[in-house]
Amino acid sequence: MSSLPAHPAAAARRGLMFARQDPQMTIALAIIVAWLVAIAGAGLFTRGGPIAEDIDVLLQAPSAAHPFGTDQLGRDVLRRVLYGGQASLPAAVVVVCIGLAVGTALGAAAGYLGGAVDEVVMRVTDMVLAFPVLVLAMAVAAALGASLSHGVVALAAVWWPQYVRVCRGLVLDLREKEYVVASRASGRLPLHTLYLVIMPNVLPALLVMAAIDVGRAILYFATLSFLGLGAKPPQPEWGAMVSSGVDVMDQWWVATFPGLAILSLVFAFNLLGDSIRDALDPWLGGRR
Amino acid sequence: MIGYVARRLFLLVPILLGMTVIAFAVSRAIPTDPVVAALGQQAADHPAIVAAYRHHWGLDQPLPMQYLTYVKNLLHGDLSDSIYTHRPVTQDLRSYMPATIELATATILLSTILSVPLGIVAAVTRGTTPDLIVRLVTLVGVAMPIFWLALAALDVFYLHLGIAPAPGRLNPTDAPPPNVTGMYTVDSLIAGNMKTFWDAVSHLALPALIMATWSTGTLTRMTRTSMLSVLPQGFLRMVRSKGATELHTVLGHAAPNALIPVVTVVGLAYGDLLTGVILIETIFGWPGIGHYAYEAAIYADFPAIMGVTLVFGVIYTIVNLCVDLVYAALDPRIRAAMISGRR
Repeated sequence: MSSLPAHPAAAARRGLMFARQDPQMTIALAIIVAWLVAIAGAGLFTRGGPIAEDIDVLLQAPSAAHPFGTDQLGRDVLRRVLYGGQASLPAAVVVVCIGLAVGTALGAAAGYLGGAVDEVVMRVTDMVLAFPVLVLAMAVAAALGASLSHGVVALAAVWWPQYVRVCRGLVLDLREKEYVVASRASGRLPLHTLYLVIMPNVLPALLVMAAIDVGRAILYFATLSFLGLGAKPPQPEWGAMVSSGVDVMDQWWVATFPGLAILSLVFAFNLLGDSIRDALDPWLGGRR
Repeated sequence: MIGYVARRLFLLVPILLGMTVIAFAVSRAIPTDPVVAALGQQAADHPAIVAAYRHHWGLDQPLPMQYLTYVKNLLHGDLSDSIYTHRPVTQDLRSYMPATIELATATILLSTILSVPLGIVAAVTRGTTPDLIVRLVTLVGVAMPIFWLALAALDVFYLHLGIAPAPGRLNPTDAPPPNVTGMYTVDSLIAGNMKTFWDAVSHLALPALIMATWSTGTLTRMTRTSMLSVLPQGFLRMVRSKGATELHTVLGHAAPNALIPVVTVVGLAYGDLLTGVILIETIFGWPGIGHYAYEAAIYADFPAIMGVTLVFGVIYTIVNLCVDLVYAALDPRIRAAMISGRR
């Protein structure tokens, strides 16, 4: 169903129909798109940079001039939340992309080649999986020294094993299917069979998994930053902003809004994941 | 079954060894001089200390030998000394462990008590308002940045309402109970000191409740999904047709079958718990290994970081092993599959 509707009204009608059929997914997508627009347009919606200080307006409560108030250095919290998304969201996406790329490559190799490769890859994967994600990421981040890029590297270093497992399982499943055997029998090189025949059938599932996974990555990255092992002040980042709000608990708005930002975006990704899972799971049926 | 348990225990050895390889690899991947990282700048200025350290950890030998030395010291319970506390890391971990076990146990208890009924209610009322509310709340729960929730809770319940006690394990005026287990709630009960017991419980309540947010969300959703897959099954129609009440059908027959797979999620939830421990202990000034891990990471106290990482990994692995064994013990089908060697 990739044909484009000829008329805008028809497109709108189809959009509405989809929204009525799956309100849950619609809400999730709406929140995510709204955040994407707000984050991408941070420079358009607000004036001045995210680290511009103004000692005339220290710690002001939310008002018309500063809808989310101002922080200890007189910086506009709304502006910092929007710019903070420019750190949090791309960081999470990069973590997931690295995890997906590394995990898929290793998983495909393990599943398709089998034997010793499979053994080695899976044992290493199991070892990394044996640690709780944040704990190992903390150790790596502390070893590298705290910074935004090191935080990303630290999370990515522990993010790939789940993709290895899933990708290997899918490849193993497909390896013995008739059309794959036929491809091999017709004289295609094994690597071509993997790239041209198996992977196109594996990737969609992995991409869906990755899209849903972004929410969890945002949460973990914010957590790492909150602990002082990710993005560093004065750079705006949601977790780091909540952390800087600890010193001024009476000025609730400093920590509240970045926290709400994390919550709403992660919630939307989880909701999206739930609706995709519901739509794909025949056991639970289309309707809930 | 005994053979299966033995095989799993035997398989634990390579996994634990693998974890030491990873811990070792991370500790050797530091861009700074490992001696400075392990001793701190002050001690690293003394050539005698440096030489002794190099010899103890075999740093003058090739990498594989260094690893063997590391494992040998590890087997003697030697995780090196913390730069920050100047005590052996093993000793530090032992003294901080009880507070963490107390908090983690309270959290698991709380989230189980909350999530099993919630999940069952949601499944039975599927598609109606109670189900929607439970699903919305748990979805918010798993998306919650709990460090933020913890700060908000401290602000509201301690600073403004004054209902919750100050951060810490006891009021400053209360002396800790005589040390038996190191867990204040248990020790005060053993000593028969009810006043201290309630004080310890009141200090435990808020951090445990906040930490339970993630695990409650996960466990409730799993309970609901599992119940939904059991409820349409034929044996329940049989139970109903024999005249059993709906309550008895759901609680007596559906729930016991549905809760078996939920056990497996407890293992996953425990990973979240270990993450939560770091955040919640730091925010609530709870003197456990999570707080210790945070301080170690912030002060770049490398021996302590690697010690904590290893301990967390070992706890996580052992919990997951226990979960697998319990799962096998509860479900004869799984047991048969596992023993026949499919896993």
